[in-house]
Amino acid sequence: MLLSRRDFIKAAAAASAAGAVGMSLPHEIQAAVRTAETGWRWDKAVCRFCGTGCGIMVATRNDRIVAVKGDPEAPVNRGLNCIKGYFNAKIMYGQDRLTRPLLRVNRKGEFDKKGKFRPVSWKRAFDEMERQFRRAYNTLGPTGIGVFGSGQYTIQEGYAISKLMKAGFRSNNIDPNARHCMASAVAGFIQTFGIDEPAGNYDDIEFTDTIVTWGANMTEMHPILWSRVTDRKLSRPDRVKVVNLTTFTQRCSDLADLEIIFKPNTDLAIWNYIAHEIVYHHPESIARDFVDRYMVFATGFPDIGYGMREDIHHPKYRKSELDTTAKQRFKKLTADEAEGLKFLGVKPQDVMEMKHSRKAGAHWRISFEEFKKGLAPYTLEYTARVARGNPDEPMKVFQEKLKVLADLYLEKKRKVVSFWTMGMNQHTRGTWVNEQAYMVHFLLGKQAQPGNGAFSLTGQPSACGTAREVGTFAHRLPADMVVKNPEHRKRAEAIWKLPPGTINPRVGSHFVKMMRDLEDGKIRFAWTHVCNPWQDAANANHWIKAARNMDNFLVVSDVYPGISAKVSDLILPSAMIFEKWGAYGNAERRTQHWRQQVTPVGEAMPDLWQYTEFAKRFRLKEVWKEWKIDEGLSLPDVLNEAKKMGYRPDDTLFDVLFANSEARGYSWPDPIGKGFRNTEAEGDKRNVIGVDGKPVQGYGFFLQKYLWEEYRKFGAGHGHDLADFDTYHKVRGLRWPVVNGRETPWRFNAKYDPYARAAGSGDFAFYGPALKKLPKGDLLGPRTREKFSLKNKAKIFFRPYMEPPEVPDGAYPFWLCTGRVLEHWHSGTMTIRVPELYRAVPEALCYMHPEDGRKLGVREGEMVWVESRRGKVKARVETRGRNRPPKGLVFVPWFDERVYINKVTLDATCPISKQTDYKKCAARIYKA
Amino acid sequence: MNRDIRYWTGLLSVCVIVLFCFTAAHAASQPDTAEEGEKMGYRHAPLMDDTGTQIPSARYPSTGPGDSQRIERSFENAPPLIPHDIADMPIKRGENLCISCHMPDAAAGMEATPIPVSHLTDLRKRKDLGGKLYPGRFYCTQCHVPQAELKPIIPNNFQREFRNKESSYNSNLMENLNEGVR
Repeated sequence: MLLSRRDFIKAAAAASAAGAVGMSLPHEIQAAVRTAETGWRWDKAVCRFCGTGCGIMVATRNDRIVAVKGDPEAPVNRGLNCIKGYFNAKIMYGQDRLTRPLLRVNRKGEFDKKGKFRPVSWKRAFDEMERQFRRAYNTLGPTGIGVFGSGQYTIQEGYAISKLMKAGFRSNNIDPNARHCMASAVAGFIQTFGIDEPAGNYDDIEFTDTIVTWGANMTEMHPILWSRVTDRKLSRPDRVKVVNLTTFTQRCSDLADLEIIFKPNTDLAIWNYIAHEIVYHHPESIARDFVDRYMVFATGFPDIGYGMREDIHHPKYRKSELDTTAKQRFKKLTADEAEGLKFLGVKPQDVMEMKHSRKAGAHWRISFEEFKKGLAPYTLEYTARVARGNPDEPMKVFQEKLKVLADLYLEKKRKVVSFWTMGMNQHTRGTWVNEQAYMVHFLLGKQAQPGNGAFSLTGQPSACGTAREVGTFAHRLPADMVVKNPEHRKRAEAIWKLPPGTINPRVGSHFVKMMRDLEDGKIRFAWTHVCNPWQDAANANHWIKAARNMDNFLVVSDVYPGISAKVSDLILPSAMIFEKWGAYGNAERRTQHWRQQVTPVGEAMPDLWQYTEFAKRFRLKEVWKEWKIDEGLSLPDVLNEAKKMGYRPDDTLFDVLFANSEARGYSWPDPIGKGFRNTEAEGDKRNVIGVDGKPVQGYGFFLQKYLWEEYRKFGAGHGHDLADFDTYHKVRGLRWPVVNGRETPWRFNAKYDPYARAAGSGDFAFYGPALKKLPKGDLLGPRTREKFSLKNKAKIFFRPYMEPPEVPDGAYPFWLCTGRVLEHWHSGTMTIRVPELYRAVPEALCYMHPEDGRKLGVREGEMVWVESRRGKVKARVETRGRNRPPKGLVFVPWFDERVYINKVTLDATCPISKQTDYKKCAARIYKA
Repeated sequence: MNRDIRYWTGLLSVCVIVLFCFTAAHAASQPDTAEEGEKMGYRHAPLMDDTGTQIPSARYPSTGPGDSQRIERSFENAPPLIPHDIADMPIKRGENLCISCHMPDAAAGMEATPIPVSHLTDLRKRKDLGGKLYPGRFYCTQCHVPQAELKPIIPNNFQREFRNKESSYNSNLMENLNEGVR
């Protein structure tokens, strides 16, 4: 009888292991630092990819990257990287790097929307861009332009473009792709804590006994954090428990003690079930003192729509889209929904009119009794019936799993960390479900302590550091301030040295809205930075047409020609991460800086330089004049005030915002940059011919340091304190707030957080200032006009279960879920160009259950169409891979521009956060 | 002669007609988006129509662990790529076939690439684990991946540089770990 290969290996391994028991390998961990006789220079940097924020060491020789290793000093990853992290070494060297500006022109060389891309000089590119910008700006005003920003901006880039847009052009139409990834987390934080970003940090992994993942495939998306989880679990296998809550089996289940497959969107019901267990059956598990002293109960309206267009018959909708888009106004309640919404007195088949879609974020205080009443329907039986995601799993087994889950949370001495990412954020009730995580942790008093906490993980390398902390959003200013708040505008105007009234108080268009504005002709100039909006925005067919068929001008600054570059009118070649100075902020509030390691390729230039050069082309008199936004709002002419401040109408935005006397005070060279390049400060060996037709010589001052030092004024003394520029070049990042040189490991906890200590409210202080005055009411609505202060307190929200706007039916019987894979980053533009990563995962597959495949008559490896009411794409079927969906669900990653899955997805969003739900829509699958 | 002229005129008009038809057909197939025909990126199907999408089918090597050839490292101390089939080798708690062959004690006998000292060290606690695998490295595929038999879809101009011969196949990370780390 032949042994299978697997048996053979097992037998052989056992035999050889027995012969080598007790073998130990001596080594010296603290090897002496060897200076490289070989000419290699190592310097610390940060990984380009996910929100984990691993420290890496980059080796360069002859102005090229030659190797990357994990930084053994970096607290995040201690010398370890994931496969993508190591291949930071090769991402800059794809053969089709964009090296020259490309403009669509006709045969005469004139710009032509229908023309073909031809290489042009930086000067020609900027001349056209300036002309087109003015055409939009002068006719439509500040709302007629837009910037698609990024959670992958360096902090300085994000700060500079925000300043240019908000202080210069007086437009709030800047929003990052982080809207697609973190907005629900942000809204959850602001509504619950009054301040953004997690209380805890990654050390929670080593302190906790229980790790629960909710819609977070950390094995693939945060591999190094999962490595820490694995270490914790395998080092204390009996004590430490791992639970994986997910809509399909993925790699986290390989480590988990318990896997819970739930139906999409029913995480809302499961959180309420846990709270129901606490409140109804185990009131003794409530942390009474903690809840009484630091919490209030709250709720909001359920009839808030799904973030689709209010015009449900919009002329650009296809006919096939209309039954889904109608749900924005009216939704027939299912039996499951009606039961979960019992407090409203509704019945199955009732039509809910979405009366509060424009007041989705409104909320008010309720009593504990009302809170308890809201939770009444969420029994084990109800929840299991609604939430079971695998039709083949016996109901009893599923119920038992939910019970075990609740028991783990409730166990008095057990520490619990709940991690989540896109599963809970990309959700038409994303803000709610984020709030529910805090609800459970707060009730149990398991928050803001080592090893205890609900922990929102971030997706992008600087979604926290740049998008959120700098505030490159349509509604934000740096350090959690918002454009709507007059006090915040005043503060920003003071730091930016602007005349009062300069900043536009009207919230701009969010990311999805900007796409819709392009389709409607309301935005006619858009500039894309460090992201790929036409590949990442859901319902992409609309946006491709808007890009190509509408009268607009689209500029894309990019490093490789992705789909967004292809649909644009002008492509600007950008420098990549190690070709510029920068800083990122990760998911544990750790800010990390790096230096420019090499000269950019070709004529590529840093994004920062592109923004500052563009600023040179506009004078104060053109932007700080009066602007009529609409009938209700005019921005005042601030030129007279500006004159009093010493500005001249002919000063350029560059002079005022970026090269003012303070900026020029940061001289270059600077000791911190000794031996390193700085293209913005001194130009470089290439002598690229710049936008003025002359070789780029640099500004002569340390622009990046100036921007940092100005930026950190926003947060100082307000719970967002950051250290000075030089400090970050000497340490492996610091977790803000950094007060008196010390970082803050756990926020809101007086033992660790100086702000909580200073509040003087006991062991904790939830001192976030936003939304801390609320009316009182009951489950149906607010009942008082008066608002009551909840200083230093946080909120425990009741939020009900509701279904998403599109669920599988006879015509479209499958759930479609999208996401990433370990080997590729986002839209794949960088990683697909690393042959090792491409060969590891060469295409986006359609993962499905083998029995679904059989029913459809398709075999492993065959192509299928994946089609929704909005569009269709082809993908190859995989039934045995790393993702194993239950029957009725398929998973297709979005990194592959040939499998353009966002043509299929639905652009419904959480109505509060405006974050798209990429995790669920209905699709049909058939053989291609 | 006249006949010749007629002949040539006739032929010419046929050519013109053919050319016209060709051009017209070509023009009709011109899509409304000007991006098409641009050879940028690796998606060559029109953005608005996926009918013609071509994706080369990828095959991972079917060679068993004992029969495969090591792949040269991508750069010094880059994680080695997996040269053999791993389709039937799940990595689950309590079940990891990779380590059965690649742990140093087993590897010699199996002619497998041995797991290096860096993996038998807890770098977080700076502790030698006495020959045991650091549990944080249990999921091998977080760093080590198989390679489908495909040409790169877009070539990469990174230049490999090894400072000594051995490092093109072997790890010397623990000797170099702190090099340049300040």
